[in-house]
Amino acid sequence: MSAPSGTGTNVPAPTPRAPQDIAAALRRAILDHPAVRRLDGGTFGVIATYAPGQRLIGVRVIGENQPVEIGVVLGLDRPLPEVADELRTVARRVVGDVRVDVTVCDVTPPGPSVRS
Amino acid sequence: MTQSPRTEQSGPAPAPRAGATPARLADEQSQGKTTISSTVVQKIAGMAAREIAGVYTLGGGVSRAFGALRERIPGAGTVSTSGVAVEVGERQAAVDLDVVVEYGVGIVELARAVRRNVINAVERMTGLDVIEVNIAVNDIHLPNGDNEDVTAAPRVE
Repeated sequence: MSAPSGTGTNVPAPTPRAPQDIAAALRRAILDHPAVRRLDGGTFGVIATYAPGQRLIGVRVIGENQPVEIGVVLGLDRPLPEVADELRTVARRVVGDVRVDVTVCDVTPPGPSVRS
Repeated sequence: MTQSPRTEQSGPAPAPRAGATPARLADEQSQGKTTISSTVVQKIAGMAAREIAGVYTLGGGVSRAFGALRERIPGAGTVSTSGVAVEVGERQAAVDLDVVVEYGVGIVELARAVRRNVINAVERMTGLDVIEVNIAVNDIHLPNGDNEDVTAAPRVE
């Protein structure tokens, strides 16, 4: 019944999180970044996670340990690739060691971070 | 023929990743790539061009007429992007600007300043290599035009 010991630290296999749970956590983490004004769905709103009863715009999560995609609107205060790299780091803290594609869909003029 | 796992590769020697490539956009790192949409480049180029004193507005002729129409269509570009056309690739971008200048500026100098500022802004903000900035001066804004603000000092006291 219990897992056989002796194979190193026996981490109990985490129950896989549902895509929408990962997506919600990812959204919160991304929006916490000061350069992010809002999330965006991209050209045709394709960057989104579909779940029962809701659609999470701006993050595309298929499942645990699957590549994710993020669409953001950034402020123009700092170079965008730099911010994108930071967002990737932030995202990987949430989703783990997977590929994170960041799309900068739009920008807002530099200035005080007023979230609409 | 022999097993030389990864020291030998068929074909030409792989070009070293030049440190001079400005774009870190299409990083082929397994961690994911960064995409910057053309709207972003358009906005940055437009803002950079307007920053130069002597640029009255962007757009002109046909593009201004269409721009006025387009502003009313949601999602079809904004006023800040009319007069700016961009082509964005994975590492490079090209910018075309339609500029209305103010009367009394040296247009050649102004164009040079606009070009420099646009290249600086786009390259710095997006990491894209700007290969060209084409500037078309479509019109000149005369100071005594009909749309001049009426707060100007009176001619006689």
